[in-house]
Amino acid sequence: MESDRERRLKERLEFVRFYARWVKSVPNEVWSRQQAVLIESFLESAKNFALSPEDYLRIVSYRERRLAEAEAKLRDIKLPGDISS
Amino acid sequence: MEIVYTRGRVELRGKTLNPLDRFVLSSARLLERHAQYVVVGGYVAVLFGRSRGTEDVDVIIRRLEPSEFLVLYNELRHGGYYFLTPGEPGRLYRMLEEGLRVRVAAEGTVIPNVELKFASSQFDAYSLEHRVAVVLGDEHVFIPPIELQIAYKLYLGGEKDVEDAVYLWEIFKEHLDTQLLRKFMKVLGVRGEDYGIG
Repeated sequence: MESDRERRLKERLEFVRFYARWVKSVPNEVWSRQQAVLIESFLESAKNFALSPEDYLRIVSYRERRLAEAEAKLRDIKLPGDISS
Repeated sequence: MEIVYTRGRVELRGKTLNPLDRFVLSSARLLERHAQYVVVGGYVAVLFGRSRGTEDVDVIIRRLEPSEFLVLYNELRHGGYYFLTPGEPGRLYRMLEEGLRVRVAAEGTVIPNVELKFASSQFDAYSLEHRVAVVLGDEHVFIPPIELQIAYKLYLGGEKDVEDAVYLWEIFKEHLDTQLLRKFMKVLGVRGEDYGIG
């Protein structure tokens, strides 16, 4: 049986595919104008939470640690010859 | 979406640049003078239209010598940027050497910021060696091969990562080298079939 998390991800992925199909179907001017509005408002609202660098670094430290662990595991992996050549 | 896709180059004509694009392009212009770089992570999906915000832009640069890093540090400081990560240049360099990331933002801001790291694995080296120029009018930004970016996002495995991987696959599937994508997925131990990738 599907968990709530799996069901949510499946729904999100359906939306991502739907959105990608739309982006591919319209000229760059159309999707990018809409995207610019969204990103401008995202960055505007970020300005309203005036974080100090210290607070910000504390907030992102968990994600940074997780990423560093994932990357550390890759350091010893050698790419096969048919990729690296 | 109108893209012109050739080996090592993707041309994206007529994109209305958003503030994040402008931040990335100006940071990349400055980095490029000092180090080979690629922008990786969530911004790659955003660059090609994914409708989500991202506050940090992950950038891999080739490993620099301490003196080279000092030049880059000074250039960034004179160019209106500062290091959110505290410490003098020597400490920041040691962090990069240890595989950690340091963050850079425009003076007076915290978001968006560039999360800078030295290349530390063969995947990073491959990304730099086979980087792809995304051309936006008169400007460009370098990203890794999309095949590696998709496999790497699946490897990270968070919800946003998987969504980015699926998005990039949907956008580029007609252009990608699926053999190469499968090889990257195999070496990273991830399965694309679960998400209709590959």
